[in-house]
Amino acid sequence: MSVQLSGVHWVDPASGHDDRCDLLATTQGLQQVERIDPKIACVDARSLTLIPGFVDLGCSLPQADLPHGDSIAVELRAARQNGFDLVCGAPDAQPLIDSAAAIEWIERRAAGADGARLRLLGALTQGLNGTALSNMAALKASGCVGLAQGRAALPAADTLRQCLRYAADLALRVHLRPQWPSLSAGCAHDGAQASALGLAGVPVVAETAAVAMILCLVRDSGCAVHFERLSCAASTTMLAAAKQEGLPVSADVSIWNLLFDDAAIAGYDSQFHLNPPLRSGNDRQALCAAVRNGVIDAISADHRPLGADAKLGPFAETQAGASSLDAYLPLLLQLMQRESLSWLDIARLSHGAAASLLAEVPQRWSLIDPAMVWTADTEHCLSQGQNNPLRSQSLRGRVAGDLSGGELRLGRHWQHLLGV
Amino acid sequence: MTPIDAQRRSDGRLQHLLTIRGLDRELIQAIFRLAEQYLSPPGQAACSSELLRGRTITNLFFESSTRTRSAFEIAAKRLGASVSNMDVGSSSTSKGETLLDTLKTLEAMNVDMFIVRHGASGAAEFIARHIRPGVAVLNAGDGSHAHPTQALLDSFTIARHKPDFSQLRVAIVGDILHSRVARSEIRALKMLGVPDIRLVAPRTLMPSGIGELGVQCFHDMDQGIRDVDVLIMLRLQRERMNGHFLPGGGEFFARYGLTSSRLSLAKSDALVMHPGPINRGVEIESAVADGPQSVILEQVNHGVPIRMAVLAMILGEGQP
Repeated sequence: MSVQLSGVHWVDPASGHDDRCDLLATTQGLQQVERIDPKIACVDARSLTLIPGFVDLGCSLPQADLPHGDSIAVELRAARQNGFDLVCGAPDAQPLIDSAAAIEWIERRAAGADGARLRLLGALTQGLNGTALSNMAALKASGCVGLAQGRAALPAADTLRQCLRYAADLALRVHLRPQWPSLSAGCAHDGAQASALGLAGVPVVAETAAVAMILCLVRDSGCAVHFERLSCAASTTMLAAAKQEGLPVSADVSIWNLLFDDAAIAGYDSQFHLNPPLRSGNDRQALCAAVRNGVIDAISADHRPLGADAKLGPFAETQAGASSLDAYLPLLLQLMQRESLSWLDIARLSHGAAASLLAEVPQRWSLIDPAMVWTADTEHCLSQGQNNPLRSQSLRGRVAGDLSGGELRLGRHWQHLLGV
Repeated sequence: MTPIDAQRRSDGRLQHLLTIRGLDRELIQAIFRLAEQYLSPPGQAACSSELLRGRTITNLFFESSTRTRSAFEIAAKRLGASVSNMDVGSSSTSKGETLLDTLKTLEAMNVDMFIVRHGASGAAEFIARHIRPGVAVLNAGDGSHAHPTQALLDSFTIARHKPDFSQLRVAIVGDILHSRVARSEIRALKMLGVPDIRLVAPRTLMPSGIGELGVQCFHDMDQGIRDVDVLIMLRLQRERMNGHFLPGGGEFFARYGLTSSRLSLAKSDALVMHPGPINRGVEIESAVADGPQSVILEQVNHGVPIRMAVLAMILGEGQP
């Protein structure tokens, strides 16, 4: 199977290619060609950009026991159609990813999805209760690529230390949301905005205290730790120092924290009730700087699909989280423009670093139409989540299709547009 | 358009009252003028009218309140409106019905206004966003966010003693962190032109970044209340405190209680105010609460006419 893309803007982090060219895609991979071979199918891709499929290190799987039990499959297809090659499912799913049976159950539902590839993060503690180590070796043997607590509370220091020491023995990376449990009771960033709105705030120290504690335990155990969804400037400073020291740490940030700050909740818009919360403008700028200079390795969609009821209520009484798959590309493009990032930067942040952490090679390339304007309404959004903060807005940037093993799949719109 | 923007109709008249934010000095002063017409001293016959005859107002109180709810009920009845009280404790809401479903059910009963008190900040705006057009929402207190009618009646009380706001120093003392009254007071006083508003509280009860509202923050009470014209004392809202904010054993009173001795640091004619209920011996001693500078009972007396004025403005035809 093979196909040619003429005039495509090809972004290849492996070779550093970031330019227009004619490309031949076969089961052997991609190669630039000097001229189009008339004997091989060709698509005029002059308006499109080809980039490695996104890899996300933290995606909340939908409830697996819904009446329409194919929710996992639907979300994986939505992920693929929104440019994702691979997503990591967080362990706080239903069922909890803390046993081989649960893993098998989820993987069976993912297998026939024809969607993004799914990798699973196993529970760090049994039942995510934070008090007992999970059967980490069994989880690894069942295919878990790492361990995590998801949105469940960080274990106490003594238990977390044992978890990291045990995980280190198994060469398992532990993914942790740095939130000190007793400091994290709140629904917004603890600052002037939350104070004016009368909302309980989550202070920055809730994150930095946890980061500091975890770094101490990394030094103690040698376990590789990935910090999920950093949200404040001070954390990036600590992370930079830790990397400088040579500690085996990495981090990601939510796309929402890079483009929005706590001004977004001024009208109590519960769609922006997120965890971690949107913090100050200074924090947002520091996170962008950390992304630019590589202190933060990856940008996560932090996708958490919820039903409509989840956001229907006074702000503090709604569930935190955003349905992000459909918004991820448009937001990446906004970030690119706002922060003067290159396409190679985008590829690094949306694919390269995360893939490297997971020791994955790209299997799917995403063909992007960066100029396409579309409306994020129910008809055009692919995820089942009803909690897209950009709902009904006009967005720029859409995935036209994907390329895998020489096979090109184009969305219907582009099939008509390109006469394919 | 956000609910705050929608508080006023295109002709500037009040449509909802959710927060002091979005109002202006002229409107507040118009409320004061109307409240003066409805004011009657204790012991004298109350002012009443039939302005809201045929209108139905529902008190939707998700938090217990005898004083505020009674004041609204009296105010509405004095204007001729029919009033119903939604007792949330026995309502479907306590059985798991969502706030929105409760609202839609009541909406179907053709209510003209909901007066809402809820434990969650932003609840009044949420209701205003989802209510059928034409139904008014009046915020009687939402979480720690706002209590606009309390701020209006407190400002009205100040105005009747010290009409020139541009010269005033006002101190708000106590549990600022959990106080919706404090936030509304700050906005109302700034709108009326008070140049020096001070918040006095221990660090654990001072909201982060509150200085951005244009106030000064003090952790030392003696410094904070020096030479002020008005002291607004707040009670400790223990029912909203999740966690540890203060030591026990009367230390709060020792550091922040308003005693006669402390009161002498303020101006000799300083007003002593409190939105109530007061906790004697916790934030204020009885000699001060009952003393000559206290206008606490006047505040209570002003609660009904201010609320009558607001109700009249929102629901009354021909009102400003």
